[in-house]
Amino acid sequence: MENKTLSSQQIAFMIFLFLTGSSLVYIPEIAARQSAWIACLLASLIGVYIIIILLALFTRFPDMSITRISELLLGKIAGSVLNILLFFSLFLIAQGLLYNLCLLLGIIYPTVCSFIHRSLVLFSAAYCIYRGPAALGRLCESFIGLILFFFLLGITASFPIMDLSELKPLWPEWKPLLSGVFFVADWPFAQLLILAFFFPLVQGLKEKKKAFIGWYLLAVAILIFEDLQVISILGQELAEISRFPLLKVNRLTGFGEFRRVELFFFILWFIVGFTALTVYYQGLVLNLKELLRLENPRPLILPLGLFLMVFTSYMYPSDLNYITTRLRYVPFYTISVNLLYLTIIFIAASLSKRRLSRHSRGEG
Amino acid sequence: MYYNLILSIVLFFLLFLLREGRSWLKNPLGIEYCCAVLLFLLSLAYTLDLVQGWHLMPNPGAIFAKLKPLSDLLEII
Repeated sequence: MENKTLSSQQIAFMIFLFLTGSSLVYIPEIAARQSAWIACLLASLIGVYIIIILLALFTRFPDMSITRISELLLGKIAGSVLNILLFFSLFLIAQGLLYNLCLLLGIIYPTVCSFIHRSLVLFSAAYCIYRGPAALGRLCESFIGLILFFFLLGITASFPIMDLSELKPLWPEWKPLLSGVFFVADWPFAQLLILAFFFPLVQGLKEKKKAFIGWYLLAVAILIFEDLQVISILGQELAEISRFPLLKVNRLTGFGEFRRVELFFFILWFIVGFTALTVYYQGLVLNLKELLRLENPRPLILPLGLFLMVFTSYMYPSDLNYITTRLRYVPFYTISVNLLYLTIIFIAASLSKRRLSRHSRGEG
Repeated sequence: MYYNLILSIVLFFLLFLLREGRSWLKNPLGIEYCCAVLLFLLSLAYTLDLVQGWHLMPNPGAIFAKLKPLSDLLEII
């Protein structure tokens, strides 16, 4: 296999690892309180929408990048404006993933400076990207077994301490549920748009539609179980104020005499968090390459990583800045751009298809 | 004093870009390196701004802060 192609199985694993990695340490749907899992279930429809539309677009325009498709369908100016908005949205999401992963590393290694964490994580991700998208695919393939084992272990270990009465009353009012659906639709479901940069690298997309949806649904099931786990173990109030509720949950679980098992789960968090960040970093490089019409994206990898690190520190100099800006204001931009971008391109593609069929009928 | 020094560097750089930029942009390899250099320079500018606390560079955070009413609305909900 060439270093520029991905197998459909690798993409399916990527969907799973990305979804679980993107929201493993931060649970945005907690805004819906006890109904967080319902919010997650409802918002998962956004992810299905994105996957189905992307599959439809890339079945019609195989081997073409999404940026080229948008310029082809909308014209150069409108297409470029949309592409720039999308780049900025993806950049903001990558910042969030980097910030969260390094914040988690800061809890495990508190004496190491956050800049060193960020540099080390980005160097490792850059190495992976230098090896090509296939290396990322192989990374997903090699870690999937270990990750599934840890998820299963987490589920089994937490069952004895789950108190399902904490989940009551279910669906008390629709307003917090709406708020929860909004935030979880943005993080992680609308972030699946990054797959648009990987789908052109896959052969036989349409035949593997069921596998993609299957792994997606498995990730959604894990996310829903995590919501149930966090609320039933920590309670709604503690879950709402916790920065890393899953870390707290794993701290409370244990196997007989074994305690501090959360350190084992650190492997799980790091791998899935790192995979999500690398997927986004790779997607950003591919997007910038297409935007600037470059033949070789390699000279952009390290400068873009450095800019990502510096800009993250500039935009979010403290955790308070991050919580207010990234978690409260930025979702309004990212979810709108991600969903509108895809919807506009899909509508334009449908209209052009209809026009073409009408034109060919007229000629006939 | 430092502001003048930085201003001089920016001016020299802009003049250099005006004189040499066109020939670079005609070459595909030149564009690749121009983009990389631009990203490095932006990183340097943001780092200097952050370390010195000048707040001269544009911060998208300030633009996003304008979405506060929307966020408050969702919070009230």
